[in-house]
Amino acid sequence: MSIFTTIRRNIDRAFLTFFMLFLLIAYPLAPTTDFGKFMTSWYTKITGWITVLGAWAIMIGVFALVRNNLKNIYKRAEGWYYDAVTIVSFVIFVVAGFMGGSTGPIMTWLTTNVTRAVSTALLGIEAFLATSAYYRAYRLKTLDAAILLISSLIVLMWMGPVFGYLFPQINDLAVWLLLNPNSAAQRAMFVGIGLGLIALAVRSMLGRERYGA
Amino acid sequence: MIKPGWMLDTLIFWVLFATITVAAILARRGKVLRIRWLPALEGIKDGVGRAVEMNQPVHFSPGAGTMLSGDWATQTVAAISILAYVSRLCAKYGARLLVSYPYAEWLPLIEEAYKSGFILEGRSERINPADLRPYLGGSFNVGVMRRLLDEKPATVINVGPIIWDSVDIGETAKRIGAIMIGGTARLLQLPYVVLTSDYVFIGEELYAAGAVASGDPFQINTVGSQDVGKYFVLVMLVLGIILLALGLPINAWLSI
Repeated sequence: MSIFTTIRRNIDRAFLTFFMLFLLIAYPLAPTTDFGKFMTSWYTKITGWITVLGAWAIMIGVFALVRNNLKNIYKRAEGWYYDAVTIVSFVIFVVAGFMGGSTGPIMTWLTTNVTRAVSTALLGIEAFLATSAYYRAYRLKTLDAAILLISSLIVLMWMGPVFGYLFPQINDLAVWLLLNPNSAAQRAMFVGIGLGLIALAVRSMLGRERYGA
Repeated sequence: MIKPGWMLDTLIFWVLFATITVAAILARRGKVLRIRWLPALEGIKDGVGRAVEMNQPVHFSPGAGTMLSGDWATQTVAAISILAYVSRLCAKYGARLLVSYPYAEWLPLIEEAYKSGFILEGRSERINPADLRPYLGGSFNVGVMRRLLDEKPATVINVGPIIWDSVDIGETAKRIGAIMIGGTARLLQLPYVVLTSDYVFIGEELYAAGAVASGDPFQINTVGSQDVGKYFVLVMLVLGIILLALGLPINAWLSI
């Protein structure tokens, strides 16, 4: 393999490694020395580039989406009419965006009367689905389930003001549950998640996190 | 030079970063760390097997919060690694794979991960672009719910930056009698995921899943070496409790 082929195959990984290391080094630096000023000014510039790259990613995604949908419509693939709905909605929103921007009258009307209305209706369904999930999970089958059920009931009673009024001890008990066992478990999980993130960053930086063939 | 109060944080970060990198590089010399197999990965295998037996598809979604920035982006990356694994299993055993996603910007990566398994297993004729379906933004939950009711998959996998799709997708999966595999590193949603799933990737397991499933010693060592960080935190905790009990100004030391 020639040197040029090696460079061509690894150039993206080299760029990624360079920029990741640069950002990691620059992030905790204070602009008090010349080096600090240099690093922080470039840090600001590079994070600005990330926004531009994000915009490009959205454009690539939208092009890929339109291409896939048009292909499905053309081939009359299964459920192709949903793809047609996607394309029509996409066109309506793009036109609305060009006619007055994201805060223009057409976009505001679409957001208020279509998007928000549908989202609110969906959120209403949530309560019923959550209740059926709780019903299945909170059965006194094991000791763990019993602890979960009793703790949940205490917190639930704390949330309903009438119980707090009738049994004031519930308030202290619920706050203790949230601030002690709950916080302790969450912090332990945060440590694990933080370490997992570092490991993922190392794998991505060295090009070993695989997403495809 | 370092921002006030950041010295210790920066030092700890670089020590952990270096440990994980060194452990990964040691894999080249044949030193592979032992890690436990994740039950949820076994669940995915069982789920794909069940789908093949029942002649029904497998459904995958990367969570409703697949954003391009911050912590949610890293969870999406982890979810896409799991998709690559699921795709390979589906190709190997002959199950149909349905993918629903909520944001267009991730489509190129999702498409790549979806196709990769079929290509690697030599089953590229089974790739069907119509099986990748967008339910953009707010329509994601209801779109996936409708798709689950229509297609009746045997296994439903919803992993990644989950917002409030945990309950919607989880409950619909239960309604159609599917095995539900969930996972997120978002602590706010984790209880709901546990509530509605048969198998769960809890917190850090989500990040580790792709690496563990790959079987690549390099990636496995990055997961195994995280234990060094955990032991370090444990030692710091015990030491902190003792020093605090002795009345030493530990808070001032930690904020250098």
